[in-house]
Amino acid sequence: MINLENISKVYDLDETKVTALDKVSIHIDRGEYIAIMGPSGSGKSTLMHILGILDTASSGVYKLEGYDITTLADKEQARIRNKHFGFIFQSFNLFPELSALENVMLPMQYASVAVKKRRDRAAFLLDEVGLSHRMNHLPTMMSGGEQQRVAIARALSNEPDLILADEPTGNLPTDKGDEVMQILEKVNKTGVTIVMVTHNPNQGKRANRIINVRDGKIVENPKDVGAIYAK
Amino acid sequence: MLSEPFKIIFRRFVNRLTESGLLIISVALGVGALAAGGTLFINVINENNQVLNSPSYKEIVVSTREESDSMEVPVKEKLLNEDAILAQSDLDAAEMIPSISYSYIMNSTRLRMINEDFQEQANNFAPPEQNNESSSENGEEVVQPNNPQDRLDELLEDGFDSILSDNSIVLSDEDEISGYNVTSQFFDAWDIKAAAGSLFSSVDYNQTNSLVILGSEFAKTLIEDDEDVSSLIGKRMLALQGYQTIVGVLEETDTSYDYQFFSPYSDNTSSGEFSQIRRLSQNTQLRFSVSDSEDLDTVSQMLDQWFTSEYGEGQIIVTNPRVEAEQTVERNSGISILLLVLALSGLFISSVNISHILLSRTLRMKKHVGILMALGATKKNINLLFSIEALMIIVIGTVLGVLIAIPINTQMQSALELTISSNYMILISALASAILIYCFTIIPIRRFDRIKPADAMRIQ
Repeated sequence: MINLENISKVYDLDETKVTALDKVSIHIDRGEYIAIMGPSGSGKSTLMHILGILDTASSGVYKLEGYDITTLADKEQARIRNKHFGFIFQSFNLFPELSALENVMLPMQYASVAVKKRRDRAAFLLDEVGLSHRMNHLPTMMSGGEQQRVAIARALSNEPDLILADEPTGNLPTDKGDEVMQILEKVNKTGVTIVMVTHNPNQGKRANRIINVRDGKIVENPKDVGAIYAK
Repeated sequence: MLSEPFKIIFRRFVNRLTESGLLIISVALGVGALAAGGTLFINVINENNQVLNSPSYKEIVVSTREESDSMEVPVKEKLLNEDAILAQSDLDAAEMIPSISYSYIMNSTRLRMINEDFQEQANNFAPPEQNNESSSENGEEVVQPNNPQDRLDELLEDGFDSILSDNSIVLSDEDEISGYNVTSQFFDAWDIKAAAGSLFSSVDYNQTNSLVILGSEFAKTLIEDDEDVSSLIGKRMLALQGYQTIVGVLEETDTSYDYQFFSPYSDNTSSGEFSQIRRLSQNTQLRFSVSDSEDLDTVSQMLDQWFTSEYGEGQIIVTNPRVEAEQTVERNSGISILLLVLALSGLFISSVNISHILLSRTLRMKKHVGILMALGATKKNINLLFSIEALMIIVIGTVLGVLIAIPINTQMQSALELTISSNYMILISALASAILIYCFTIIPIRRFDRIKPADAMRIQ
């Protein structure tokens, strides 16, 4: 499904060049559940952003379903993000001005889904994540766990092929984090590929595959990975 | 129904009401200033063009010294002290000066209309002692009857009821109508044509019958809404001075002439003191018009020489009204340009202020932009969102600005004594101001044109 070939990302910071990713190559198959792990500053979030076309690589090739999408126009990139990817962030990133229902409806608006259809689907998704009673509440009136469940419903709104979750439980207490993880696993079982950045080894263990990032590189030795995050 | 992204913008607008209100006030002040200043400037330019192209300011006015000095001097006293009495024959001066296009006499006059109100007043009139002399009032000819009741009796031999039933007689609701006695070239000089009937023929200027041509607006007051002004031709207006037969109705001129009447001027051919009194009382003014206003100074000097040689030093006053008009035009232009510059400065300051506030408002939306882009918004979608926000502020501000501009503009128009007043110019100026302000909002609107979603979301 996704092929990253020798992807590098270099930031220019006050005449100093910082290499966030250094010739990273990854292959992700459809339906996989992948955890990206590594210490802070290792480049895992940068990798996540490049996977989600939220950022562009300084060099290398990004292929989605065999098509090189490294240098697509803004409009095409936006279309792919909207139709094929769903995003879940650590800080939820819901719009405080919109109700839970409207937050879930929003991505469908960019996919030109009719109002009634997107309202019905948003209501269905919120029901799926157990928030049918909170549809018209603003995010500020909801707990962190509830907000993250709204974010999951929003990520699922356009039936994406891939969900990119950046530390989805990072701001949640353990029990609420588990609820979120269970929802993600349930989603994965429907065939949706999940790539999740996490610091939590227990959550990493629940993934089918772990990609360990250190100093902008993928750690090649599977034994090390196995030793640290043995299933 | 608003789509979700626009709901975000709209609710942020409402949630930050103070800031939004300040933005709207800034727009209103900027738009109001330029709408008022711009409208004044355009109206002054139009008025200046109209004034300087008006036949009134392409002519030299020749009058007797007494008339120029004072209108208060009794006619009989004027006669005793004054030899100079201008007459139609003095228009011959034009033949000596090729640059004069037209020459005519134009004396103001009035008609005292007889209608049902007048009859009522006349019935209550107590006759004064007999006095057969005519008198002059404010330099305008008013032929006084012996007393209104006698004059009325003379006119209404068959009674007022018979007049009301006579279709050939027109009654005016007005008590008094002002107009002019003119010679034939007046209509040529002003390029006024008859919309119905005709102008005076050469015979009309010599006959004793009272004939009138009506201004277009005055004519409309004499007919019903469904009637045409041509229905007035041949009818007689009932005035204290006698029946006035309507021979024509003028086309619209957009001047005060539309509300007045014209009758043919002729010198009183009889000789003697009474004839001179009549001519003096008419305060005859000769007017010599040129096609090119550049010739006015030369023509003025030549006419001065001609009339000095005819009547003696200082007896006749030759004036060039354009000199005074040009001074007024210059003054009004100066004031309007100053106000326009001030208004433009105000608009510029407002625009910079609006741009600055919008920029900081937009920067606070940076994370929102990142999330929207992650969810599928293109840069065009983002620009549209901020454009809608800017337009919402500009539209509300512009409406308020127009409401501010209307009274300010009215005051300024009145202070400069402008006659041209076009409110649609306020709308055009306001629209131009709004477009200018919108141009200043492009920087904040396009602030995120080159940002990547990841960079936008990085701000926490």
